This record gives sequence, structure tokens and C-alpha cells, in this order.
Amino acid sequence: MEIYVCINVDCKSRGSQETIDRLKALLHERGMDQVSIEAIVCFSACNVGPNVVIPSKRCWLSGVTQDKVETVIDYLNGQADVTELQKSNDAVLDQMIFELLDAGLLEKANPT
Amino acid sequence: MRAILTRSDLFDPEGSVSATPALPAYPTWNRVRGSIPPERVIDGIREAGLVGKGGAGFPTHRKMRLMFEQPAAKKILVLNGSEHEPGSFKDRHLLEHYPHTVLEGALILAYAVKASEVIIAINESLAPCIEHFRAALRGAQDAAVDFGGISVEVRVVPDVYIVGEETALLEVLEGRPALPRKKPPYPIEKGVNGAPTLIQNIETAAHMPFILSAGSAAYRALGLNGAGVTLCTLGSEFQRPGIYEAPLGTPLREILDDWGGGLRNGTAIKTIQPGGPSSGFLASGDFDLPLDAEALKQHGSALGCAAIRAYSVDTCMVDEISKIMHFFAHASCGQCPRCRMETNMLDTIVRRVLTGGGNWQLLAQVDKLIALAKGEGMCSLIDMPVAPIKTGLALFPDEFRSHIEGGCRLCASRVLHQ
Repeated sequence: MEIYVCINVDCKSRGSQETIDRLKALLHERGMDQVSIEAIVCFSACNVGPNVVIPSKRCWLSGVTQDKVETVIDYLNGQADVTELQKSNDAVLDQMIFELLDAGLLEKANPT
Repeated sequence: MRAILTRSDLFDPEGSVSATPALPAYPTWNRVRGSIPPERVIDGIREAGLVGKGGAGFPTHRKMRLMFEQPAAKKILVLNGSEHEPGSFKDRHLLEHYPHTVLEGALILAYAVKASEVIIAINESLAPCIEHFRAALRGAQDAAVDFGGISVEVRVVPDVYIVGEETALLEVLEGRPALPRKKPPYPIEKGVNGAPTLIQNIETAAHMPFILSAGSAAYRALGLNGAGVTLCTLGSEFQRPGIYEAPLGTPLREILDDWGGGLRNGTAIKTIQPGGPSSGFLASGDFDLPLDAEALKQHGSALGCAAIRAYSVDTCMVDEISKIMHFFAHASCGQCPRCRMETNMLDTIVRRVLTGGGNWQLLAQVDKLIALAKGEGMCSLIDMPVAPIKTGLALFPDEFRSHIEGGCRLCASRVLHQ
């Protein structure tokens, strides 16, 4: 499973690097090392960052500062509700990012 | 008859400063300031039909009129010589070989809009331009050419693409990073350090001496379409690359074949971009079009700064479009979220197709991304990838198909360019 975090300038200024650090630490702590953290191309939801996308859950979470990371991990384990982390999501961007994901934006490129 | 590239009297053919420069007497400048009221100069520019040569093609007289009407005591003229548009070499050619024409044009422009200060902004990477323009300025001052109280200063600006955007240039001139400003206020209202500032391209100024000496009608008549001339750059892919003074309205085919001599490698030209990397691609069937802003616009392209890039029939256009998308993604300053999103997504999508990981569904997102970004940027960079990707998809579907279905015969390799 992958968790994509935006590391562009706005999300970074809102603490996305700290979010990544906390995610890595907590995933390791809970024995979830199979979950990898990846960077996502900015999809212009900057004003609600840091933004996190979990493709396997078709889920975009906004405002994921480091103090919200525990909720994200509990959500992955089916133990938390993330409605609060989606309340600021823009509907147009929500549709766009999942259309791009469905079209294969994040699949690994053919190495040949 | 040449209007702009007429004299290079300060420098020898190698481009170094001549021992005995024949300093021109600035006859047009002297006549203009002595006998033509500023408003009449602006009328003359309007009658000549001159448009800005930086790429946007805005009528020069309209900006001049707005500036003229600014009531401030201190007004500034800035000539943008940053010339970051890939493939364009005309401004550096003027600064290096025709600095007196640029300086005389700058003085005429400043006089017409009542600017007391002129700043010539030159890209830091263009050392010969900086050296030669400064030498010409010193030469004119030493020869006691009367500037009519107008001060002229050379400012060296960073080699960063976005400095071509006028508000980013203002930031640089005020000592800050090159980040475009929100408009309004427009530079003409509030520019360098708050003073009304008219920003024009170097070439635009270089057209002034001819227009004011030969007259507006004579200038118009230089063009086959009655719109004067423009400088265009033919890239190194041509047999005869270089800077050409082109009568507007000249058939593209004449420029490509007769002037440029076709491609250096002897292959046929598949497509061109007539106005730099942000202009739309034109197929060979359109090569009979004239070099004319309106005609090119009607065919999905643009005159821009007339940096003409030609692509061989042996070139993979997916690869070339990917390079262009990558360029704009990196050129975006990142201030505007939609610009950052659009340029990076287009770069990512085309690169995925190029490297064999794309599909039609992904390419179908291109129009949606562009629609989402439209009108959401502070400057024009957000629009720049639009024409090349849209015309590229329309003209070269088979090449995109080759990459999607695996097996582009034109690609020597699928090495990801970084």
C-alpha cells in the first residue's frame, strides 16, 4: 500500500515534511513497514494542505498535520473515521485527482 | 530595405569594440525631441501599427498612451532584455550589434511617454550584450549626445525564465526574487519603486528610429501585409540559422526554405513552432501561411517573438512535447497553485506516455486540467503549455499511439530526460 503526500512548497510550508516523518515513525512503530510513503504531484489543493492521498482507499485527506497522523493510521486499520480530514476537500479537485488516479497517473512507469 | 538591422557601426564584424567607432549622430532622436511633440510621436507609432515584440503582441501605442497620461513627475521606461524564450536570439543580437539603435529608440520612447529614467535590463548570461551596450552608452555620453535630461542605466538581471514576465522583472529591479505580482495595479500605474513604469521589449524600441525617420506609412509598407517588419530567429537546426528581419506577411515556406535553407540534416520539415515553445505546432500543409499574427492565431499558433523552431520528419514529437512540458513545469515559479498543478501534471502525463506507461484515458485528462487552470494564474505562464500540447495531440495522434501501444520507431531510446 502507498500513502502519497504532497511535498510541494505550500504543503511543505504547512508541515508536510513533519507529516511524513511522523507517518514513517508511527508506521514502523506499529509494524506496518509494508506501507510506503511517496510524493504526489501538486494538484492545487494548496490552501487545505498538507494533502495526503491513499489510492487504494480512493481517499484524499486534507489538513493532515503531524498531529493528525495517528488518525490516518487508525483509518488504515479500520479503526477511525476521517470525515473531519475531508471536510475542506474541494469537490472539483476531488473528482480530478481520482480521475487521474483511475487513468494511471501514479502507476510506476515502464522501466524499459 | 532593412529598417532595424541597418547599421552596426560601433563594432567590427567579430563583435569587439572598434578602435574608431563611427558614432551615429542620433539624427532621429535629435529631430524628434526638437520638433515633434510627444503625443504626435505616439500617433506615429499608432499609425505604424507597431506591436510589442516580446511575444504578447500588444499594440505599442496603447501602452505608450496610458503611460503618457500618468500624471506622476517621475516615470520610468524599462526595456526588457532578459530574452529567456528558448530559441530567441534577436534581443541579444540587437544589444550586441545594434546598441545605438536600441539606445536611440529608448530615448524616443522615453521622451514620448515623458519618462525621465530608462533602465535597460539585460540577462546576466549575456556578457557581450552588457559590455557592448555599456560601451555604446559611454560612447554616446562621451560624444555629448544630448539625452534631454533622460538618465539611462544598465541593470543586470538573473538568468531565470520568469523574468520575461514584466511584474517579475519589477520585483528583480527592486531587489527581490523573480516572482510575478498580482495585477492590477499594472506597472504603468505602479512600477519600479512605485513610479509609473512602461516596460517594453528591446526590439520594440529598436523599431522607433526607423518609424520616426522614414514615417509610419513607409514602415507599414515594409510588410507584405502592411504591418511592417519583425525580427525572427531561425534555430541551429537550419542550414542557415540566424536573425532575420522579416517583412510581416512573408510566407513561412519562404522563410524556412529560401532563407533558412531547410534543415541542416537534409530531412524534410514535419512541423514548426513559429513563435517559440509556447506557440502551437503547424503541420507542413500550413507552411504557405504568412508570418502574420492573426493568420497564425487562426491556425492555433502564434507569432510570439518569432523564434522559429522546425522539427524533422525523423523527430519523435511525443519526446519533443515532453521536453516542452518539462520546461514549463520547471519555469513555473510555483506561486499560483493552478499553474503549479497544470504544468506539473502535463509534464507527468506526457512523460508517462513517452516512457511507455501512458494510455488514452490519461491523455483525456489534459483538456480537463487545462480548463481547470484557465484564468487562474497571475501571469501568462499558465497558458504557455496549452497550445503545444493541444496542437501536438491533434496533429500527431499516431505518434502518441505508438508510445501507448509500444514501439515508436522514431525514438532512438526511451531514456527519461531529466
